[in-house]
Amino acid sequence: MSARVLLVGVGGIGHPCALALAAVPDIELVFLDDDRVERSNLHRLVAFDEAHVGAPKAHALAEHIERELHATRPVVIVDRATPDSVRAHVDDADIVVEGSDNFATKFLVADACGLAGKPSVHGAAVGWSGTVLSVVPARSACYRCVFEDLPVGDAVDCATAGVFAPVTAMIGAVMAAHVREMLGPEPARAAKLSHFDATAGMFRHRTMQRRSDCPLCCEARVITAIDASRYSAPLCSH
Amino acid sequence: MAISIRIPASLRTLTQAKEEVTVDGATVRAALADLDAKFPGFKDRLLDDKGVKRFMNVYLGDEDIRFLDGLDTPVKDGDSLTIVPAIAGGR
Ligand SMILES: [Zn+2]
Repeated sequence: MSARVLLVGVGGIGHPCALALAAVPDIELVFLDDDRVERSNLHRLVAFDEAHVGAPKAHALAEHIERELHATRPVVIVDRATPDSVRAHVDDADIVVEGSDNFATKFLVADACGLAGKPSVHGAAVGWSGTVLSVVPARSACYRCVFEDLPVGDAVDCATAGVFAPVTAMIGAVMAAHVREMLGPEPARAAKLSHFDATAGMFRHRTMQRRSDCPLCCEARVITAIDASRYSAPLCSH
Repeated sequence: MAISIRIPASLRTLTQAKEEVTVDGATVRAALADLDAKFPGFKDRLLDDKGVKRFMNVYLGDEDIRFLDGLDTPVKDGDSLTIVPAIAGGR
């Protein structure tokens, strides 16, 4: 039976991750993204060219994977993760790959995965650095164990810092490797925080501990359902 | 007491682009205070009245200081601190 891998966002990070997973046997890819290709994205969406500008990213990537890589065509859902829809999308998946560009979606998807007990791989890239956090529910630290809650004030997102294409490619590739490890005999081995610093040419991996007072994964957790008011941070438009 | 601190790319505007700086101090709190004295602005970016800001992670070697003694974690000559902020981006 094949594993259903849901990619939330197939932009700069999800795109290289999907390409790396496309030919892996026994994986069914599902793309959830409602964004369109822009000319300014082309440097990091390596499978696309001028002709794709304006096309939905998810459809264009699914077509590329089928036609050029001769792999099974991914399922495409032209939508975004919202508090209303996220549980249905996550419940249908075996593993969730989250490469969105804003903290509201990151925490929303992390919470849905925690509630549904689905493993997740979260990736982000800003400027010259990036992080990957892989989570095996009830076994390893979750996104909230590490990053707690939506930042207030001066956290770094793509609205305030650019994205360097080789970093998104590197992060997407590492996420794909974590997905493969999670599908293997020892999924918990994939559970770690990897931090990439392109200026130092350095990848650092850390096994994270669960927090005993985590609002999502501790015994006395306070997050027991998706409540839209928890994710009301400004969205990033790029 | 020389403690090295790795600065994330997003905070290097405060260190004139230095990736790593050396500070003094016997605890993480003292080391970060010395960092802020040498490169003003770190205190506001890293700390709030509860301690390390919730979307910032500070590691001593490979250990998150939250699982040690937090800001009161002792440090010794040659130790290395790393600051890893939560980031979103890459669409
Ligand atoms: Zn947790």
